[in-house]
Amino acid sequence: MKHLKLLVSILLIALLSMASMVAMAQDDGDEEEPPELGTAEDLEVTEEELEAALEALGEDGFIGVVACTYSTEYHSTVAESAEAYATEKGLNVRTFDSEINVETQISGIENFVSDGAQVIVVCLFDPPSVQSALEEAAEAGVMIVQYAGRDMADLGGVTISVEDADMGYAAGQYAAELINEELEGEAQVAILDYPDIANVVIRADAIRAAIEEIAPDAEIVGNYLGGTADNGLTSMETALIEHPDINVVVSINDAGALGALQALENAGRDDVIIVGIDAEQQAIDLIAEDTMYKGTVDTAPARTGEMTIDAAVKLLAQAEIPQNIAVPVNLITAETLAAEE
Amino acid sequence: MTGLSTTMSGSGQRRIMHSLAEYGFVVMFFLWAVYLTLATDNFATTDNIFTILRQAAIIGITAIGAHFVILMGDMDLSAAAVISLSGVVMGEAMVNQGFAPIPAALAALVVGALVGLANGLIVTQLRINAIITTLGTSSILSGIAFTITQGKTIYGERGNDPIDKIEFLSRNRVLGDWVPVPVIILFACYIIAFIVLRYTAYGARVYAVGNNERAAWLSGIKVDRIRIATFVVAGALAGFAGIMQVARQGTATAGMGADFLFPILTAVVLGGASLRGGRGKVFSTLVAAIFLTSINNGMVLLGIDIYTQNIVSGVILVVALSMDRLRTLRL
Amino acid sequence: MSFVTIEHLSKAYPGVQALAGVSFEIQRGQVHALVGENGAGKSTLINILAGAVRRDAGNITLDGQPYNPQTPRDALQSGVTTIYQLFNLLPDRSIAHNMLLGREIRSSLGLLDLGAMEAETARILQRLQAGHLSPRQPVGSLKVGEKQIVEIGKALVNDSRLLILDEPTSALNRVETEALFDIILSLKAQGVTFLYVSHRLNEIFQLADTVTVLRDGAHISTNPLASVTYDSLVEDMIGRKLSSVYPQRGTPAQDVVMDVKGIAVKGLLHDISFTLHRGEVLAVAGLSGSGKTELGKALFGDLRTSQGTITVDGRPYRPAPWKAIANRVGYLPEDRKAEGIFQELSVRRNISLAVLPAITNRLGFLNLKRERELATQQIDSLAIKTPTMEQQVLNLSGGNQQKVALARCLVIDPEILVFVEPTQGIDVGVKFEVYQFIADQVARGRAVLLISSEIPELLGLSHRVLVMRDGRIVATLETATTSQEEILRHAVGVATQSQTS
Repeated sequence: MKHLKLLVSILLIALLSMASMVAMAQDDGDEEEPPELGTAEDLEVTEEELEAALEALGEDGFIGVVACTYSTEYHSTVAESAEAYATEKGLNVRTFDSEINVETQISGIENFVSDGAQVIVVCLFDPPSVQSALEEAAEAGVMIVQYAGRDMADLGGVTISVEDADMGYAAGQYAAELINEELEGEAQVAILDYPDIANVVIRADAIRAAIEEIAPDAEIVGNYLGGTADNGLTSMETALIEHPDINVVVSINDAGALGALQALENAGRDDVIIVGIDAEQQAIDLIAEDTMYKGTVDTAPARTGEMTIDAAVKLLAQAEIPQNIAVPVNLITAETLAAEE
Repeated sequence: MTGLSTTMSGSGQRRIMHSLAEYGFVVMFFLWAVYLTLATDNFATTDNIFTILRQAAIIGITAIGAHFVILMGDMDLSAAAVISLSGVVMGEAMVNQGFAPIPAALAALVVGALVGLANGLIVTQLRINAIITTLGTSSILSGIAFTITQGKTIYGERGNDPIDKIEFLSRNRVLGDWVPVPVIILFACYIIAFIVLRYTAYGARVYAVGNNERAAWLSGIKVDRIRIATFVVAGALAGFAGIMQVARQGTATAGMGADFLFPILTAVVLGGASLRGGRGKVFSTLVAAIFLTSINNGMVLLGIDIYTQNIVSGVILVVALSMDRLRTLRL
Repeated sequence: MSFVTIEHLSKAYPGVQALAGVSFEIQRGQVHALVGENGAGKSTLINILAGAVRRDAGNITLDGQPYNPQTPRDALQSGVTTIYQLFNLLPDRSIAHNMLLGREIRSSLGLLDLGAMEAETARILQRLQAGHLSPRQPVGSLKVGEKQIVEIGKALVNDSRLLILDEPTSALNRVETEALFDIILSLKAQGVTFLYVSHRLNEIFQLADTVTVLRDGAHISTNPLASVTYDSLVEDMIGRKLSSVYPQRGTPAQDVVMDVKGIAVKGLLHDISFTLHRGEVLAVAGLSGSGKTELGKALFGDLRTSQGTITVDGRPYRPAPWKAIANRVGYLPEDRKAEGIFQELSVRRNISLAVLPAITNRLGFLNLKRERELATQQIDSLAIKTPTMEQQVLNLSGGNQQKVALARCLVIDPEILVFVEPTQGIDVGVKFEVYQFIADQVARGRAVLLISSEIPELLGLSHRVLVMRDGRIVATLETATTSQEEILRHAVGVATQSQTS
């Protein structure tokens, strides 16, 4: 029958989409030996270095900051703090929003390079896809500072790394400790994930690893789609139907966890342990007020922004700096907040 | 389609194709629902059904506006941005500027309607095509929303949160404490939309313009006015959806509407509205929106890991759309 | 002897029996004409013979063998070629490539032998008296008549024994038509059989040996040409006796129902002034480009007037479609199918969309009962053939679609009707109905502005004729005392003699 063709086409499309999804989900890049990590002190900028940098930039040169996105507090804070910090020091700086889109980011980088950027500070959410654009930039003499994953160290640029694995592990570890202390080691755990961003997957994996290691009797009922408030809300609403006894939620970011919190409150729950990452202000407020939200991981976005500019200055001044510098990561809980006061 | 006399080949096979064609994606919905009922314990519970309906509300309400615009032969790609901006206006007004809920909501609705007005004016007076226009306004609105929020989330102080005043739009239940408010609102909006399209002169004009703009003009219909009015309706509905989303999330962010554009347009197309205009049943859009929401819901209940979810929902959509395509095949 | 035998051929589409038990024979080596109004079943019959559509019932034999093509390829392979109004040619490729498409001549290496192809093409072009065409010319550069010759050439390459021609002269001029007839006659002499479908009865009389008439899907008659007349054919086609062609004209009243002074449309119309009286048919004649169609549009408000005034019944009237309707000025556009109806809406809604304000209450809701009343009135008074008023207009026959377009004019209870080319593309039988219709309207006291290119029609129906040229009115003539020649003279612009007869 002629409709056979239609059915065959449907099957082919289904197969194609399956194949492409499998291909995308492939683990690219093997685990390497973690290189030596420098610290923030290595980035202290001296007067002479700043002057040299200003001279190198001259009138037309600038530092181009390519942010992953401006739609979450973390990312917008990094970019804005970098911009403000650089402007304060008199350095020409421009910013660009990649909107978590590879094409957009590639164009942004290319435009900056052709416009005369001398340093590009970039957040890499999908390092392999942007590799050639960065290589071209490097060939044009542009120096690179990147502040996301660590995969691109071999480009000769400087990496201010906020280790997704560290963040995830810290969150998972805290949640696991709470499970052991307050729930006698047993719990039904939901992990909020966001697989569209490669580096975020590392976070989710690290959360899982931490929990499996530290609270092995806890049951992880599944990974759910988070990343935004609505996703967290919707996923949690639905998850509760199938697993009404979920009592721990660990999320790759605060935005998703906050949505999940809303869903849990709507369902009348007040006994759930929630841990997020990013240290959004709303999360911090909730932690301080002794709610279900128990902890978040501060990735110091403002400090990260400043550090990228410091690195840029050092590069422009041709000073020596380590290739990989770690941003200090710290866990924020009610106790740590109380200790600060 | 009765009345086909004895045909030469497989009339039984044709009859099956006919039924598939008549009901299109609904068949897929039905199969999916049956499968979920059998494969999970919790799909067919009132709790879950209401959850699905609540989750479908924002998309569903905005899809009404998109449906109207598509009926006219245009398309409104700014709906998602309006949800974001009006939500941000609502949040900003209530949390940071101290407005009471009603003025804040009015402001949000007015924002939506004004955007619709702008879209309508640009399309009719400057004669720029609707897709390009609404893409452009979408960008501008996004930018405004981000400027207001500075990339941060708008939220209220715990225990003293102004947004709590509108949380009834999301949490409360009526009719004997059973039906969630968003569900009532969703159905009410669709019923009103249906009445407007079928029983008012405006509705008749929308179909006329979508069907044959020239003939509509020659019938004395003020085509430009209808266009503008429809864009305003779409904008206002998206604005209302933004308010409901703030009530649902309890917060407002500049990107909160972004993920909705695709499901909104998919719901309208899947519901059978012709992109050339002039044809489409609004309740089909509602069923399509609910179907789309049930796909994600079902996958979570089935425990499908989120990496595979994209494939599964893609396959379901392709099959559903193809079934719909059978409708237009020559049989 | 019988070459094609058609027996009890039937085909139904949803809601319509397109062919009902049609039987007749086509003799070998003849030109067999097939005539009938739109909706008679001619297209369906052709499509079945061409393999494009499958019959429901009945038999066809071709040269003694059962003939039941499942696809157009089958038909081609059996030697039946159909040439439609729209050609199936590749404009970027040469005549040779097109003509030998699918039957290319290859060399021993398997590559195309262009030399041989061109020679063969040239031979065929000679046979078709088109030797002046070069086989290498791209088809896109040919004139319509020449393209048609290429199509016929394709048929010859395929050794077609039965050539079906569907309205072949609709896009040809006189010279090309004559050339086509020569080709047909010469091929006929070589044994090719033709099934010739056309609206143009005078062509049938020039060309055909036998004429078959279909009406409403049924076979009415098959006769040798010698035993039919123009009138007998028309009567078979419409199923009624013909009386005189143009109805009696009444006398127009004195009252001026529309007064036009100094109307202009930028670049198209200049200083148009005239009066229209109750009960009058005022014709507007002119060549294409004269502005007569634009005048109709301007009066209705489809074109913006830059100057001038119009009064309707003494009231000032600034044209815009909604104001026209409010002032009871009705408009029937030239392309009624594209602009006069809403194909996918129901008959009922089509009619009421012309008068929405009349059926809308103060809150904006439609009075559906009144809508149905209005629709019923129009369907009855115009005898629109439709199963119900809910039927989509695209499912109606062409003639009934035209009636729906008319109904949309009449439902506003117009005082003035502006008709632009009302009988264009209309069947013979329906034309007469339209003429009667116009006469009825003016008998009721309405006024008709009849804009038409068919001068006999203008003379047969109108009281006065305005002749336009270059956007101006160059003559106002009394129909009773003028002639086709005089109208043409004004339309073309030759210096005129005195108008007194």
